[in-house]
Amino acid sequence: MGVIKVSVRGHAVEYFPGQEERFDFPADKPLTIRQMLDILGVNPLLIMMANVNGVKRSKDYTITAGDEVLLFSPPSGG
Amino acid sequence: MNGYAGHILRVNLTKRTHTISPLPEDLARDYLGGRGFVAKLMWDEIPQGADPLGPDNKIIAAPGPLTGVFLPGSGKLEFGAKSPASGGYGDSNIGGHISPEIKYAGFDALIIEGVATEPVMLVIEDHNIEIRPASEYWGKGALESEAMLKNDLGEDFQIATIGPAGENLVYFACISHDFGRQAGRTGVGAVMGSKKLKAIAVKGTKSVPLADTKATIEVGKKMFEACFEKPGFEEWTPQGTAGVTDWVNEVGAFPTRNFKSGYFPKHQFINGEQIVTQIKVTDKACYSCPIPCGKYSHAKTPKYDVHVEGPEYETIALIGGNTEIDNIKDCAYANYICDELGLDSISAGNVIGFAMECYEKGVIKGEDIDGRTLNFGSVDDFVWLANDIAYRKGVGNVLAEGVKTASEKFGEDTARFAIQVKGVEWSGYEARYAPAMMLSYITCDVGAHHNRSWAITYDVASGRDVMEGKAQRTIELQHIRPLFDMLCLCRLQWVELGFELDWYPQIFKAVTGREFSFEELLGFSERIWNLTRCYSLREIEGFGRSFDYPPARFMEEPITDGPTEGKFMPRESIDYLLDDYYKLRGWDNNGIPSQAQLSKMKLEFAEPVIAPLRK
Ligand code: SF4
Repeated sequence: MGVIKVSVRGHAVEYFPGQEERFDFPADKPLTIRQMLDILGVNPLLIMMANVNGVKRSKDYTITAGDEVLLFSPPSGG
Repeated sequence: MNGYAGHILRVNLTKRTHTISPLPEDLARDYLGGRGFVAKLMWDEIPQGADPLGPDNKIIAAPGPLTGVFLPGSGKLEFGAKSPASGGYGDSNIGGHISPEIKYAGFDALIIEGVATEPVMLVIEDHNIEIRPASEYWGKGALESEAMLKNDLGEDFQIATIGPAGENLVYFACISHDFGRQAGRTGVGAVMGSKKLKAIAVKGTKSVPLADTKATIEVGKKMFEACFEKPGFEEWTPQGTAGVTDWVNEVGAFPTRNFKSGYFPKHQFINGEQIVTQIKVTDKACYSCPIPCGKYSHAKTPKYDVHVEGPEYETIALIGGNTEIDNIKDCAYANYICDELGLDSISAGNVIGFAMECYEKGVIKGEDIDGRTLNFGSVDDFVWLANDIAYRKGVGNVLAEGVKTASEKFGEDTARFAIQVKGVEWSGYEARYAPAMMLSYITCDVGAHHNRSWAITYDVASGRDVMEGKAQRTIELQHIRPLFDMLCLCRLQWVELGFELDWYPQIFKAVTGREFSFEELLGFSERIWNLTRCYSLREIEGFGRSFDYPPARFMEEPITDGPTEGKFMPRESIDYLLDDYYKLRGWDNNGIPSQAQLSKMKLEFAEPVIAPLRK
């Protein structure tokens, strides 16, 4: 089984298991970012946007083992 | 004292005198700096009952112990004064470069008192202090006068100015600096205007003692490196805070049409991507910042051709959504007009949205505004009214005192949709379906401002129908975020990049030699939260619980459309939140700190003032 490399920017990291800002997500089959968040127990609304392999993607984009996913918390401003 | 410049500058504009005195050790020890100094000096120095726009009010400007130190985001300054908008405690934070300059000039606080007879500016060059005539700058825009002063005094002066709105005592006039940074809230610009103080110009060449220079450099360097290594570091800068626009619509919290709705269908035309693709010239940072959130922009159409820093998210929300201006160039143009006039763009967007609804409902009639129009979506209407507010013309003169006062004058149930708390207009998050965010706004010590506690993601995570736990979280944030304003640091490295809070006690120790855990530092912040409450209790007759409610629109009118359609927060829910909040804070049912709480906070000096207010 491969892994998806996940990193989380900003305050939403506190809602992720272990509050890890970088972790590997085991992926035995492709799934959407939204599905991955569901499995992690994170409300997808806590993520503002995502980059997959450096390209901006929606939360409904399908990811698979070997992908690098960067998840962004919504900025709060001053 | 390590970390401090060691002096306070007091300027009396009536007498045209100044004194330089040593920074009292107990002030630094117990109140740290920045917002802490502002709150304590306001309590001690401004006579009870002072007219906010009279000679007895004072402007306090205070950097913090970490200001100007080599670490990420050490360029913030706290301005404070009794607020003309609320009549109570007021402060506002500004970035740019002036805070380190004040410190390098040798000062931990400026106290400006009295009133000049003619327009003046305060010129500080290290310990050489001059009050100079400023008539040639009076009447000029905030941006224009800063450019003139840079030209006249020299590029290496850091300059804070007011625009016509401040000169004309508009209750939401801001103090402007660095061509687009503002101490925007609570009307501090009007207090400057009331003193006929057009500008503060500062140049400093001194150094500040550090407890451990080597450790300061080492920890500061590590802090920068830790920022650079954060996931998504590079992606933060291009859009800055404007990047959140789509998300706020996704969660139905975007102020739209004077807060009737939480969703603006055209939000994609005013979001961060539009800034990047249509108007951005470059990124712009405050002193020592690795993540520049400022977007210096150029908006050009056949009608206008302006350069402006922004719009950042709050301006997009209040000018874009709230008045329904639906393209980024027009938002940037309206932003520029506010900046040049010296109007807080948050309150300006809120006030003009309110006026547009009054016009729609026939409360403001065509004949009241010389046959002009005040339509949602019209940047022309926004601009003429912004000008009339700044120059206090016609209906603009009424609106210049904010939506609370205007609604009292207009009557006809307009208070229902005057979106403010404590006289200060609500900023960029609709909170009818976000209890922690709602509580953050209604209990914020300066009025309806987001920056003390930004809790909307907590609402999303913990359940937007859930009331339990919201007070606890709000209080935690109300201690963490204002601590940054005491140290005078930018909090965006923490909140946006996820920069660890543990860094701050380390650098605080290296700079000051004082060792605290982060929790202990939060204790200072809690003390100030109680002190600012006491200040407003002292100054505002009848202040207490009744000042902590949102407008009726939020308690009675369902959101009209979007993801939160149909939601509102009934008064019973607000009561639940407030009861919980007061209990956790050690305040009574009317929001008054108990004697035990004041004692715990080492604020016994406030007890004689507060005791008679308890029932
Ligand atoms: S993040 Fe923005 S507000 Fe904070 S220091 Fe940097 S430029 Fe200034």
